[in-house]
Amino acid sequence: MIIVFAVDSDKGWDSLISSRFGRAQGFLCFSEENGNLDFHSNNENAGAGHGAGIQTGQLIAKLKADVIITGGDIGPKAFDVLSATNVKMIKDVGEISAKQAYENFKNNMYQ
Amino acid sequence: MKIAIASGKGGTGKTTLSVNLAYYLSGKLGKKVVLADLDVEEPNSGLFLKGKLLKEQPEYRPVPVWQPDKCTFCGKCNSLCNFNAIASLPKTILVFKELCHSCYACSELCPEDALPMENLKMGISRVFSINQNFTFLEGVLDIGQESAVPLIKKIKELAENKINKDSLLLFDSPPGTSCPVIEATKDADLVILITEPTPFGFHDLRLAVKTMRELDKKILVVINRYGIGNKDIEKYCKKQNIEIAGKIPYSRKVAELYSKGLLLESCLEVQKELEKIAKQIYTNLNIY
Ligand code: SF4
Ligand code: SF4
Repeated sequence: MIIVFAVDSDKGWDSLISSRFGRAQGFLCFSEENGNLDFHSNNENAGAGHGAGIQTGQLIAKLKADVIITGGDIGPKAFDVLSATNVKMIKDVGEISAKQAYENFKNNMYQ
Repeated sequence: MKIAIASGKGGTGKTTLSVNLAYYLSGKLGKKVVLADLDVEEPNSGLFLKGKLLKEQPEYRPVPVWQPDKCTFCGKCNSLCNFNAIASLPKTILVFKELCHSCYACSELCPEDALPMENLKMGISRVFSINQNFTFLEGVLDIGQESAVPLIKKIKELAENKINKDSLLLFDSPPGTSCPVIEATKDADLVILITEPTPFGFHDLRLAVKTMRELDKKILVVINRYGIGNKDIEKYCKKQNIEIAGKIPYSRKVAELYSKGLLLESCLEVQKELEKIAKQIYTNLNIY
């Protein structure tokens, strides 16, 4: 399974989850299969005037995410894009670390 | 000649000035006048004008409609769209119609012809004859449409088709300083900014002046509800070298007529100001 975390800076597992999905500075992509945790910048989309959520949603699709975890809400357009890719959306987790979010997720604390 | 009537914010008397000025120019001065209400999100000039409805029709704008059977998921359409209106996903293409600017790029450049343009209804237009010299147009944006700009463009086009070289075209512009008001004012020969002598009015006037100067527009100012508040606007206009074309007084009678949806024909003080404003317009546009 591939789990993606919205973050504003890359500090590995200590990165704080970003509450701005469409305008998050980047995404940490964790592959449970090979154990890699990679950072993907979202700089270009974060600064877009309109449609930031759409482009960001596409990036998540490209990462082949099964789960996306973000600190705040997901806008309606990003929601449409993500819904079309069947990714599981976990939102409003607040500003916790990616590590904490992953543990919570594994312990089935997000429904 | 095109004149846009605008204000930094709503509720400063933009509509009052538009309808009464158009009526004055067409009646007292016998000019051919076309007034277009471009405040398509909240059109209300029509409330003050009683005339004959000549035409009402739906207005459309083209947007691409994805054809799944033709698409090869090459992803070109997403990178072609300058407005981020298309998401290309592994198994589907999503078009966000609200963000689409109808530029045709994706449609024409899709290698598989999988994005033909189809018409989407955005609102309606109406044309009224108020009297033999005075034609009035309005647009009403459908609920759920995110951008007013395409309908504003359409109403402008319709209005431009109704004028000849001697007529005056007046635009009742949307409030604010963003895209809709820029669309409404960008090809005007003269912009009349209406404001009121309150701190908010003054603040919004300065923003509006800044926007219009960036567009390189000739500006006149009209003060509505003159008599309340202070003289800040007059001092500012003097300093900025902007002519105050008229001062519409604040009176009980004006408020009463307005609340009844009536024109201010019977208010002599207002008619005097309209006369001054008309003179300023003529001077600024070199009309004799
Ligand atoms: S450009 Fe045409 S063929 Fe390519 S992904 Fe878009 S719709 Fe499909
Ligand atoms: S017509 Fe232009 S604005 Fe609309 S989706 Fe296609 S490329 Fe984007």
